[in-house]
Formats: sequence, C-alpha cells, structure tokens
Amino acid sequence: MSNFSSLSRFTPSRTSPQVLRKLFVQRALVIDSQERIRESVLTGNKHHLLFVGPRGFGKTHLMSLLVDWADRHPTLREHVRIAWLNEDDTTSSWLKLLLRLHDALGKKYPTEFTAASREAFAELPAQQAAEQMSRLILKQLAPSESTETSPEAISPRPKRSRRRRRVTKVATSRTLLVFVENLDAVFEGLGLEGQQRLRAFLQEHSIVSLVATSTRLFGGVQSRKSPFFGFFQIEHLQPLTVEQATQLLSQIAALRQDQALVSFLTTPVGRSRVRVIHHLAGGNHRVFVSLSQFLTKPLLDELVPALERLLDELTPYFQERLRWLSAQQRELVEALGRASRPLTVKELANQLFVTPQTASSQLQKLSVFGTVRSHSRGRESMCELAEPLLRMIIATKDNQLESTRRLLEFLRLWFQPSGSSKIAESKVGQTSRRRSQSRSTIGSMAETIHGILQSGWDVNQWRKQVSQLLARRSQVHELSDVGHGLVRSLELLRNSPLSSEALEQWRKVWQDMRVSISGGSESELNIPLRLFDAGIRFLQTHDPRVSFDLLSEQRLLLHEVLPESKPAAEVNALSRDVSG
Amino acid sequence: MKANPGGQIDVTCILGRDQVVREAWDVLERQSLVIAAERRIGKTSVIRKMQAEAPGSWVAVLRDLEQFHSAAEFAEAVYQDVQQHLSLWKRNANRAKKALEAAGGIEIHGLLTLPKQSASHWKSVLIGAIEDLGIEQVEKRLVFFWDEMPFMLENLRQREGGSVAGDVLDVLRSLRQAQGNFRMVLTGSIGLHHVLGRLRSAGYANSPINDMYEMEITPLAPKDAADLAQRLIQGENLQPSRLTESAEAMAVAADYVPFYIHHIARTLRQTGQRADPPQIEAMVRDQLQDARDPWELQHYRDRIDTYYPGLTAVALTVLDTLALATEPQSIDQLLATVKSRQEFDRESLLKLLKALAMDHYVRRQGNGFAFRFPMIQQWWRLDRML
Repeated sequence: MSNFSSLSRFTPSRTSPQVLRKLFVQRALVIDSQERIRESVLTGNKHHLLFVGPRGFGKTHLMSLLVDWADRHPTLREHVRIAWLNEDDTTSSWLKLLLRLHDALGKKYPTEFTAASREAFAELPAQQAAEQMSRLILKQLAPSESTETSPEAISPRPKRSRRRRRVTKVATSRTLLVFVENLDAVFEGLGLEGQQRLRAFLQEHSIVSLVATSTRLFGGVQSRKSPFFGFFQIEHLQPLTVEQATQLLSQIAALRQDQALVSFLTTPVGRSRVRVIHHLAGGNHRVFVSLSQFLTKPLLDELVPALERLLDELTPYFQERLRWLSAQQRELVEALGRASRPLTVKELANQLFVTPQTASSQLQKLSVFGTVRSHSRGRESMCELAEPLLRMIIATKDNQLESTRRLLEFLRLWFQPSGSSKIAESKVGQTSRRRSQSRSTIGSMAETIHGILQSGWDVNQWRKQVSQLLARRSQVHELSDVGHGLVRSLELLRNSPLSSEALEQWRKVWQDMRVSISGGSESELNIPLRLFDAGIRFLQTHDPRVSFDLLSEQRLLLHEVLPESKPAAEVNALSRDVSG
Repeated sequence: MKANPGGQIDVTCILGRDQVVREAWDVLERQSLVIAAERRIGKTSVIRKMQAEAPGSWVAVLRDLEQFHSAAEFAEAVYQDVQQHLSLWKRNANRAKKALEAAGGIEIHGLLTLPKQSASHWKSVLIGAIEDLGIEQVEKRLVFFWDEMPFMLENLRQREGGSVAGDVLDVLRSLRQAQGNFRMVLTGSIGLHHVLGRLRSAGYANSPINDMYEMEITPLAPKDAADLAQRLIQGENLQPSRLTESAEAMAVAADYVPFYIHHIARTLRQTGQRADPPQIEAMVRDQLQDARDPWELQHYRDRIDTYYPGLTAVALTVLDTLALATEPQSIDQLLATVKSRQEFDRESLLKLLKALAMDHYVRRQGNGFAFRFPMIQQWWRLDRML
C-alpha cells in the first residue's frame, strides 16, 4: 500500500519512477522515444520530439519516465546534461529561456552551473546577457574544460591556440537534452524574434535535442512562416484504449495488493464497467489514475457510486482549469455544462445576453484551449463541452444529479456483456431492485418493439400497443429495458422498406409517450428517446449531421447502432474558423 | 540510424553529398557561392558537411542569419567571428576596433554592441572587420556560411527599410571584390531572387550577387537515396521482405529527397507497417492526401500568390496542365491552353516559365516543360483534384 500512497494524480514528476514505469501502458511510445534520445546523445543526429495531447493524456508522465531513464542510463549519463523546464514557469524572451535553462541545469548539476555565474550577467543589456548565457551554457557542456564559471573566466577572447582547442571541444561536447512542457506557451512568450534566436542557436550548435509537449498543435510549429515549421517529429498521444485502461487499473490495484479488484477486472463484467468509464473519460489517463485511488471491486461493480465519487475527486481539478478562463468564457462553459444537448452559437448568445459575435469569439478561444468542441451543421456550429466528465460535474453542481445517474445507469446496461445475469444493486430513484437485463433481453425487446411497427401502418394501433408495453414494463420497474430495446430496434430499421412518412409517425408515437410517462420530468426513457429521435431522422435523411444534436457520449452510441450515421471526419468547426 | 525528418543529421550520416561538397570547395578557391535549392532538399546538411570537412587552409564559420533583425546586429556578429580568427595583437589594433570606438560602441566580455544612436556605423564596423582579415597574413582563410540570408534581408527590409537591406548586399559585394582572402556562402529557404525582386520594386537597382557562383543542390543520386533508405529501414527495424527492393521503392517514392525518405521511414515506424513496396506506395499516397499536410507541400500552392503577383491564374493553369501531362509540354502547347482561358502573350509566358523553373516547379525537358519533381506533380494532381 505504500506504493499506492506515492502516486500523484496531477504531478507525475512527484511519483517514484519505479511506479511510473509500471503504470505507463503505452510501452511502444516510450521505447521509440528512448531510441531517439539515445541516438541524439551518442551521435551527431539530433532528434527533436514534440508530444501533443490534451490535458491528462500522460504527457508529464512520459516526460518523467524519459528524464529518469536518460539520467540513470549507464552509457548516456556521462554524455548528457538534462534541463527539464517545468510547465509552471513563464518564458517571455530568448534571454529568459536561457536563464530557465541555466537554472534547470543548476538544479541538477549545481557544481557545473552555479548561480554566481548567472548573476554576473545581471547588469548587462538583454542581448549581451543572452549571448553570454548561451556561451556559458555551451562552455559548461564541454566535459574537458574547467568548470570555473565566472564570466571573466570565459569571456576573454581565446588565444589562437585556444581557438583550435575550442573546435575540438565543441565536437566532443555533451548533448544538452532539454525537456520542455507546454511548448506552445514557451513559443508564445518567445515571440517570432525569440523563436528565430532559438532556432539559430540550435542550428549553429548541433548539441541540443528538444523533447517537448503541448496540449495542441500551434502556429509556432504549424505555420509555414514559423522558424520551427517542420522541425519537430510530432507524436500525437493516443487516448487509452479500454484494454489499456483496464491494464492500468489492474496494475495500480496490484500495487495496492487488491487482489479482488485485479480478479474482477479480468471478468467480462469487470471490463464492461471499465468500458462505461472509458466511454465518458475518453481514454484520459488522469481520470483512470484518479479513479484508481479509491476503486474497489464492489465500487466498480456498482459503478454509479464509483463514478459519483470520481466526479467528486475531479471537481477541484476542473475548477482550477476553469479559474483561468475569463468570466464570459466560464459562463459559456457553465451554460454548455447545463445543457442536455449541443447548443448553437445563437442559442448560447441568447442565454447569456451577449451578441452572437461575442459568443463566437469566446467559443473559438475555448476551442483552442480544448474545452469546447463544435461541429458544423449547415451554417450553424453545434457546440458542446469536449469532456463529458466536465459537463457531468457542472450538471451535478447544478442539482442535475438525477440526470447524471440516469446516464450512468443507461451506459451500464448498454455495455453489459451478453449472457450475464445479475449485475448489481441499483439505487436510482426510490426503488432498489435487482437488475437482470442483458444484451439478449434487450435484443428480444428490440424485436418486440419492431414487431409492433411491422404489425401494419396503423398509428392508433401502434400507440395502443406501445402504451400497453410501457405500462407492463413500468409495473415491474423494467422501463429501462424498453429504452434500450427501442434504441437497438434502430438496427432492425436500417434495411426497412418503410417510407419517411411512416418513420415520422413511428417517431411521433414514441415522442408523445415521453410526456405521458414522465409528465415532462427526467425519466429512464429520456436518453433512449433522444437517441431514437436522432436515429429516425438519420434514417429519413441519411444525413450524418443529425447526430450533432446529441452529446458526444450519446452520439457514439448512435454510431454503434447505425454505423452509417458517423460523419466521415469530425472536424472541429470552431478550430477550423480559427485557423482559417 | 533512426529516421529524423526535420532534425539535425550527423555529418557522418549525410550521404551522397561528397561530390557536391568537393565541387563547392573547389569553387571557393576562386569565388564566393550562392547555394540554391528547393526547401527540404538538404542545403543545411550540405553546408554543415562542408563546414565539418573544411580543407586545412580554411576556417569555416556557420551563422544562421534569421536571428538578426538589424544591420548593426549582423555587423557585430561578423566582427566577433573575425576577432576569433585574428591574433591577439591584431585584435588590439585593428580597423574594426577603431571604427567601433569612433561609433561609441562598447565591448564587454568579448561581445560588441553598437549604441542605438550610432547604428548607422554598422558599415564601418563591417568593412573594418573584413579589411582586418587582409592586413594580417594569417595562415588560414575564413569562409562565412551564412544560412537563411533571405530571411535576414527580409527582417532588415521590414525593420530598417529596403535601402538598408540593399546597402548590406552592396557592402558585401564590394568587400568580396576588394578582399580576396575570405569567402562567403549564402543559402536560404527562399530564393534570393524574390528578396531582390522586392528590393527592386522599392527602387534598388544593383546586381549584388552577380559575382558569385550559383550552385544548385539536387536530390540524391538513386544509388545514394537507396543507400539512405536501406540504412533507415534497418535502423527503424522495419522488417522488409526484400531489403534492396524496398529501399529502392522508398527512394523512388520520395523523389530521392532525403527529407521525404526520412519521413517515409518515420511514418512506417509510427504506424507499425513493414517496409514493403505496396505499403510504401499506399502510405505515400495517404501522406500526400492527408489534410494535415505532414510533408509540408501546401506551400507549393500557397506561395504562388506572393511569388507571381498578378499572374496567379496563369501560373495555376500552367501547373495544372503540366500536372496532368504525361509528356513534356512545349511553350506553344502551354500558350494555347492559357489563351483558351485568358489573353496572354508568348514573351510573358516564357518569363513566367523561367521564374517557375527558378522556384523548382518546372524544368526544361527537350523542347518542352515538365514538373521538376514527380512526387510534387502527384501531390499537385491530388491537391487540386485534377
């Protein structure tokens, strides 16, 4: 259990490297990066790597592993000096970047990069100080020279004989391995001129290799006018697959010596629970690490309490992220968090009493931050929060706990493995009851519902039979069967010869039931009816963009039932506007 | 050896450039050099190899000029590089130092700074620095490798005006003519002719590089390109069924350009594919059509508007026609196509074709014109949906 307590969710660099190694499940990426770093250190080939991925995708975790590996490697350590520029410090100029480099080196190699040598340049003009700092760093990278660091020691111009030695010295210099987090922010601080100076430094002294991270691709590496265009080998960090997420949870459980959880994670039911969390977390590493802190077998099996606790655990993290947004941006995020479907820019503007231009401009910024995602539908952009968990946190805060629970229940049943019977105790609503649904049950319910439709185009008859079905299932508290069956019945409609008009009547029959069942309040049928509605409209129009009316976690379910409803490429409409 | 697209290549791993490096050093015995090439062909690798393999009678100094935004900064850098080359005695009594003192400049810890109000003294510092090389007979001659010269000129043009950029070019030309004991090698990602064109449109009338030898860096010879591909296939452990065949396929698919060969190897590694010819061809096709433009080819289209102002439509017609053609097209064939869309004369078309050739879009082939690089031709067809 001691290992478990040393696991930091938000600052992987504080976690012991041994634990980090066990937990990083994307081994191929680590090995590939290590091979490139090794070549950079031991040869004149200098690789520059940029890892791009949203927050929580394991960028700092990966950096921690690579730093530790390079630092401990018996062959590399003599030939390398490592500067790790953490994500919290600001870089506002080329000189500041050099100072950060020197400080980071000084922290790791205090006898070589002393504070005194840095201070000696304090009163120089910025350009000269930068030149002196770069000379100082280059000099200290040469292993054969004195480690004396006073400016006077390095500044006098070398004698001719010394100049020749310098040429030799540069050829055998150690490689400076610079780990930079949030490269986009560093480049923004450097500005074009600072980037040009950095690029010139790297070109003139081929002894530096950069390993950087960023939450997004940005102009400094994407724009053809940028000095660093085409410079980096860009690696997009992938979200965890369900298997990798399960592996991560299992490895942490093993560290905690929780054998019951390890065993449960190998079962179909255990994996189905992870699938639900994965569906909402989108493969975000940090979410699974947070979850692992308190997860037990019973909690995972019950799922809803586990996810409620997870939301609770993640709340401070998301709140901290929102704190950095402007008030207007926060309002937009909160409005999207409260919405049960994606909203247009105009709808958001109306809600917040701002002009559509203002809303659009702020949404574009949020899109660049990765907080908001949008899709074009005709001339409209449908906006939603990029992370379903953030939306659930906002909804929960806004006393929409019931709708969150309904969603979790729906997903739990959706991913239930075929053939499994007993699931867990459910605490939704007032009644606790045993759940016995499985995919086969839902499959037969889908056929029952489809059978009503096929009994003949008689809307009154449809209405009557649907009403009877709902009444029967409601009496035994199995209304959710109907919801799942209804969505799955869309699969049976894919090759149906029914006309668009008949489909429309069928859709209306079910939409009318929504009011009669719940009286307008939240019910178990709300989510399935929403999915059913979008599915029918897709079957009528064959336009995949109808799925943009659904929130991402619901959209994915529709794509599962009707794969053709998945748009060819889900382009972020707001990002496109920004880049255009 | 690992694939390293965009990174710095160890000089011992720069393949197929021995001949061009030898030729360049032969030229430098007589005159200075302008190295022209399409971007990503490997200019910087060539000058780094030249620098590393400098004959014993030369000292090579490499500067990336993109970092300089004023003529004074450039003069200061040249001063420092020359100072390192001179003996201690000479450093204490040279012309540049006197020019510096006259301008009120200061030198701290070996670094020179011209005060802002005396920035116009950059000329005397620059001239003095180079003249100092001639006064003292040193046993080695200095050659400046000035990479990204067009970017610096553009920086100067924007910050200090076109006349200062022109002055820098004129001073360098006069120094080359007056001083025989140093050389310069100018390179850049964009053609110097474009920067000169902009200066000329602002009134600059000189020909500041017509005393220099222009040398073009071409893609690798097929054998060298296949050699590089083979090393990368092995270095990345791409497990081809037949190594030689795969290496040749990779070289051909990349138009023998090292940057693209590195890219192919890197992408095969990232996607976990074997380096067999069908995979290579499919992957290159995917890369050329990828909306993210991983091979950075979109600039071939984007720069046309700025490179050929007022002639965009004609340039696009010509390139579209050549992209679809399986044989070289004569100027009359091209003129007929252009004239079917708009009025245009033969002389103007000839001028445009020469400009397109200088920018590496097209090349003369027999009596006709064709795309310079087959891969760019393929990309053009795909991107323009022809």
